[in-house]
Amino acid sequence: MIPWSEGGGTDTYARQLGPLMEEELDGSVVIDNQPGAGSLRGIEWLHSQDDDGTVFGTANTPSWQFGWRLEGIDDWHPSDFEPIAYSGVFGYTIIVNDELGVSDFSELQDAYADGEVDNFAHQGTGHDSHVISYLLRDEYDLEWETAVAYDGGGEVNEAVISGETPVGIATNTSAADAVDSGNVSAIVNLMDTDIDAFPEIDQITNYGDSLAYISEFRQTQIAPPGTPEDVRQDLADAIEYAATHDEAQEWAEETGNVLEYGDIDAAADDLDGALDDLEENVDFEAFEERIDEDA
Amino acid sequence: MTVESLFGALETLLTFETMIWVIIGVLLGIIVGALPGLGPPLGMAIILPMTAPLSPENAIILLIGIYSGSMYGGSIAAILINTPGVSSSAATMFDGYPMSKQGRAATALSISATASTIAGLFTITALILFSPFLVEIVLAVGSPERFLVAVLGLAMITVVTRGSMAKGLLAGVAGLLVTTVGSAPMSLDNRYTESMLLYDGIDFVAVLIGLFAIAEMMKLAGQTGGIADQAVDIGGGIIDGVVETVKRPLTVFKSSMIGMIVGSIPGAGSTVSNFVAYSEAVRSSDDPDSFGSGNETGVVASEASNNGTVAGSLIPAISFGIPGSSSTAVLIAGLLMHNLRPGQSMFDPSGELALTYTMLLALLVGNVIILLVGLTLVTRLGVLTRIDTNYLIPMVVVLSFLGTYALDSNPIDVVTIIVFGVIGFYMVRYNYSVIAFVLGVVLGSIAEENLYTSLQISDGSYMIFLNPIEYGWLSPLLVVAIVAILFGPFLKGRLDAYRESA
Repeated sequence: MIPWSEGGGTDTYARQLGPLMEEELDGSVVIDNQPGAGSLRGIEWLHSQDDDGTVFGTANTPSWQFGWRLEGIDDWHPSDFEPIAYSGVFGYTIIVNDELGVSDFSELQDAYADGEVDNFAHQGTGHDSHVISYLLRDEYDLEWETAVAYDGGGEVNEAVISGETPVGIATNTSAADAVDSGNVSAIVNLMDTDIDAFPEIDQITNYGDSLAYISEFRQTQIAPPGTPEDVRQDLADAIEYAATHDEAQEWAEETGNVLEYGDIDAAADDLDGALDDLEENVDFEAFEERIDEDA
Repeated sequence: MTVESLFGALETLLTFETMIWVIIGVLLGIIVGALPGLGPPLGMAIILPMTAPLSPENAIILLIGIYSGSMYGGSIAAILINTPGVSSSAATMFDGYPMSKQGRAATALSISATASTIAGLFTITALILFSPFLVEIVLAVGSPERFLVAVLGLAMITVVTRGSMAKGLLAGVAGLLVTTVGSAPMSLDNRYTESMLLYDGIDFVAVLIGLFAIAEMMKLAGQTGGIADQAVDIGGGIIDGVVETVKRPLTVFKSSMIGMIVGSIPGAGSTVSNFVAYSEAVRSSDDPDSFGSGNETGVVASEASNNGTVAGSLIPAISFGIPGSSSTAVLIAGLLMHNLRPGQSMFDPSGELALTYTMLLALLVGNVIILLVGLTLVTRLGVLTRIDTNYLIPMVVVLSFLGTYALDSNPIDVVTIIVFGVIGFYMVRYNYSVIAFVLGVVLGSIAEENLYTSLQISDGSYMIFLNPIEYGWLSPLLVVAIVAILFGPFLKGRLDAYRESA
């Protein structure tokens, strides 16, 4: 179960790895897209499925824990799910229109401080990129005046390319698309993982603590509550086979995606830590109040 | 880069698989067009979910093939049984059916095929040549302009509504209300989202399938037998039709341009362009009285304009995601379903320009197919109008339900098509404008999001829509256009009354 639409980033990963998993499992892997509510609808559906290992899903950690916390869902808890593995990593960068003449994060800080630019584009009110916008201002001296909400990554790209809002937040793969347009640069990596597509890019960790607890996502495979460990281990082996396969690695290099395998234990640690890290670093109640004030 | 994209597109198009989808699309289009009651939005809406396994190129080509084919298909029913297969062929009836009664049906049908093809080839070529400039225009259109274009589309409700204006406005507002369901774009408020199934609101594709497929089938179910019962004699010369069309280059040119321009206005679509082109043909004729009794020029004008509209309506659809008609609303849904976002990237050589060109080139090929089918199968096309509704209705209904559930596997979508099927059925019965409702449904979110983004950019100042010095000329021009559309007829009425009294 992929909680996003056909053709999206997470779906593309799954369709790449699915056929390779079939080789190892000696069975078929059917991809069922259950999009909606920023992946929460599909994850909620997964929660109610049989625990025999026939159904499992991919959730982007910690984005779904963030959504779950912000929506205040009572019916289920992220820790109910059983970990299987993780297979890929992606995350945010900041993209800037070249007319601004900025090449790294410190120059961007200066541009905001000098009033050369006021606005900062993010991917929607209440989106994790919206929280990151606030964190960048509070903790990394990025003094924007208005965080402008767009409807998703595609619109942010367009706003930065056209210069309507010349600075914005974009995932590493979507930043690569924006850079291809010719007048946009990715100037700082907000994740801890290096991005092969931008080897020279500035790192946010040069300016403060890591932001990875909210800006870096693992594509975590999770199973419905109660799914036994031996069944999950079989699935994890198939995911390892697929994610480390030459064919998949070649695809990752060509497309700028990052394939990275984490086993059952790594996935378990990741799931356990994700929500705690968010609670520790983000004051959700204050964030909601600020959104209401700014609206 | 642009030329490279064009050649890349040609390469994609000339593969066996893609060509098959062009042919299937156009043939399906001709069939749904020829069947009164099944318009292109319905045909496209039930095919849409089935395109999921296809590549984006083939999916869009299939949809657009149906759109283009149906514009010609509509003339078959109009000429043979005096019922417009699609509303955009309504003006074809005026002279096409009289020709049919005079035993010249084959001539009328081949005029329709020839005029459709020439207009299609001409307007699509114009669009391809013009496309490098479109990207500049698209980039100049930011959030405030997009909001205003959406409002312009909504203002068009006052133009497209026939009959009671109150009913048209009510339909438009009801459409807007539908878009308020779901999580709000500007705050953390959720509207009617006790169930997570409604979190993202009501899927407008499901609404369209309900309005066009289910509602139409309910209407058809009330009729008995075939859609048309009487047998039609198809006589007259096929070659005569080609000659008659080619003899009227000015009518073809003018009508296809009218189609293209009217088509590019959100909300207007081929139904409007069809009548505008026909009226212009009558106005500019030396013998206006002969229209309505089998004048070939009438058929040429009507059919050239509706195929020209296809090219025009693609401009706002792929540039801004704003539909010119119900058909393009479904086409936009198709783009979104295949992760193609209307906008600048559709014209960007490093983005989706190759796909845009593939789509346009496929339309060129599609128009040639229309000509071939039109001229070779002319005498057999009458059979399409005699299909028994007892077979047609169950097929369409089953496909609609299956397809809708396949969209997102969200059970609420199935409820949506039933609810909007019933709503659509009664809207048509009581003369509420369905297109006004569709405009509301499609444009509501676009307007809301872009209004919010614009006001954030301007720090809450509405001058962002009016101040040409700081924000450019496009917004004030759009505001003038909106005001003219809304108040123009009212002012004109007052002016006329004043002149009379003076």
